[in-house]
Amino acid sequence: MIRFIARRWLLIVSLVALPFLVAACGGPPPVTSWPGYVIQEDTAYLASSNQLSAVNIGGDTAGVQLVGWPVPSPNASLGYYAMPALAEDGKTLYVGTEQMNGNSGQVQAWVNIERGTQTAPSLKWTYPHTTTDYIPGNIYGAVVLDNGVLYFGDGKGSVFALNAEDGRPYWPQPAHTKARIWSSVVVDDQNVYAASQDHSLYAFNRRNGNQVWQFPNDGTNIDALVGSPTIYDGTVYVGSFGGILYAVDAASGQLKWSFKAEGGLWDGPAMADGTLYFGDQAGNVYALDATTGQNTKWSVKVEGGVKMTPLVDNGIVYVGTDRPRLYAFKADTGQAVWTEPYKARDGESLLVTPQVYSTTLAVLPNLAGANPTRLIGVNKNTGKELWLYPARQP
Amino acid sequence: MDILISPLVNMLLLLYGILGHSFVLAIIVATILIRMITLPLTLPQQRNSRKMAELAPQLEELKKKYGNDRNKFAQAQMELYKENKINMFGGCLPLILQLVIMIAFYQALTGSLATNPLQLQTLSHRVLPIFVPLIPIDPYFLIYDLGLPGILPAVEQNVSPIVAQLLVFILPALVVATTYLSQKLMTPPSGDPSQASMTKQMNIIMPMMFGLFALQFASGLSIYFIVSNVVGAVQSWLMNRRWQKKPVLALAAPAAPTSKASKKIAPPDEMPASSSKASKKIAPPADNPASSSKASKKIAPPANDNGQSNSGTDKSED
Repeated sequence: MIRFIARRWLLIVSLVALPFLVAACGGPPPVTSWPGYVIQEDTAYLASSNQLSAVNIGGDTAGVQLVGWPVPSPNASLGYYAMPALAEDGKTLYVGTEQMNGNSGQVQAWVNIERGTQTAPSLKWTYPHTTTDYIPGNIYGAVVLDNGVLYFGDGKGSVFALNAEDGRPYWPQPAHTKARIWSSVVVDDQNVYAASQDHSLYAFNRRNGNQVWQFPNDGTNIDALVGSPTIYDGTVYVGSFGGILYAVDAASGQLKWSFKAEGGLWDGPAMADGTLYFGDQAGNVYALDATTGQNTKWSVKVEGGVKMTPLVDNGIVYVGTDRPRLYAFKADTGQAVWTEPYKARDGESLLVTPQVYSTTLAVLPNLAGANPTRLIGVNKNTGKELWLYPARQP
Repeated sequence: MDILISPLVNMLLLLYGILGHSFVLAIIVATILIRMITLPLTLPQQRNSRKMAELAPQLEELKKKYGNDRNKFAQAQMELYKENKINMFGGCLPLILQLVIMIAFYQALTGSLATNPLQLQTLSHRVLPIFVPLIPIDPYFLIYDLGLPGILPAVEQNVSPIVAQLLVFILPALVVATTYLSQKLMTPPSGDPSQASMTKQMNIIMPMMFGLFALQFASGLSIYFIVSNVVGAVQSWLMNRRWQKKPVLALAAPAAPTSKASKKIAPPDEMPASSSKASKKIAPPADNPASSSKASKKIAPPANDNGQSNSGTDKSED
């Protein structure tokens, strides 16, 4: 009888354990967060998982957290996946949210951001304000602040414009695409450009949200546009999941040229001195003439796929991979600057563009497992690690 | 696990491309294919259960004979199963393999739909280049995002909270109903009261558990459960019909010396270690109406829900 009862209990316990097995076993994803950050002088503001934090990145206290504050209750199911934005005066931080295991975004405006302060900022406003306002999809791309207006796309394919002062809609109604937008929009004097997973790039009038053009518009089919576009000198550059970089005229939406990379493309290229720098998921970094897209100035192989827009600073191209390595190449020749690439910890991925403060590169890796958000200070001249946030345990 | 997930992801993408970019159809066809591929695993398991059910009357006799001596009963039961080539643990391996396939399918399903950038990053490493143009997959089906649990937020916003809750429960309710049906058809009624009680509990616990999964996990998994259950139920129904006409034990051992086997039930401690000899002595006592000398020579029909012998089997034998 005891054996029978034990067998029955074993069965019931196994059944209860089954959902955990389903959730935990196997494949995706090796990293569990795609954090974002913004830097103001010697402070980095991180948005990751369900916490925002301010971390000192300069001087003797580099890598020390100044203050951290969680998603305001009762929104425990909200998380941060998007790049935050700072107001021009540096006093307000804007960030979009995702709803874990669901779909519904929110934009938060945090005020009283003070350099060096250890007091948590306070929430000025959130959008949606009321139950009639609604962001149907999660916000994965950056919230872009331009001339007092916040622009962003959502996971259901809409593009929103909010007044940064009070969070009220700036456009009469959101603009729409036909599929998810996971990337950041880009803004110029005329338009807001959004790459949608309906395999199209859109331009919307920045003042009223009306659609100006859609690329391609000649019935041709291109692969999905997953990463963020970039814009330089009147040309929008966007890479496709199938590995083609498109240069599109910002005013007309006409294709200027395209370039076929070996692997799929995620975020758009960086540009300096008429050259585009970008990497693909097959582990190539390219330097391409921005005018024609024909002449590859140089290309180098790196370990792991590239998903970030590289950083070009003082003639050096910094680019990270999902392996996770950070490389520094001379922009004019492609020659490696460091004796060896910086290697982050196993299980991490470098998917977010590094940023520079003085001689330090602030590197934000995506993390495996349930580790806390990490920020790494790397000497931009040598590629050696300077500090780590949170500090390594003794 | 990756060795299973990547082929499943590419199979789902292939079906999605072929079936007019309908991911729900891709899931349905993939589920049917998986059920067909795993048929060599599920069928022996089902046959095993059926054999056990058909031996229920003999077991009942053994139980009467040994009364409270559970050890001797267990030993005689083992001998009976061994003689009839029933593997007591035969159901475990297929069950584990099916579980592994279910987990891999769930991972492939959510991975293919890539409901966030991280999942898409993982997908980019798995998908064959020819399927890249199909990405991203349209995840919507009626009021569901197949990659997420629950109903679409847009639907949720436009209906009252009660209606929204009711809509959320549609798929889990279907999962519960089809799991119950499939379980019921797959597990023939057992003559062993402890086994029967276990089966009864399982027939309640399993649907509830799967209903809980359906609530918690992506709605695409619910579609997988429902289709898999329906296919399983049809398979069980067809097999049960066939086995009602020709019992499994008769099919498995048509030349079995049942007349010898029904001579005498010997206590296990009198039995030699060799099972072949020992098993020949197992026979129901003559005072049992269900085990007349004629009945004992034949394969006994399984008991139905009310504990009565299955008349259909008798007819077919006559």
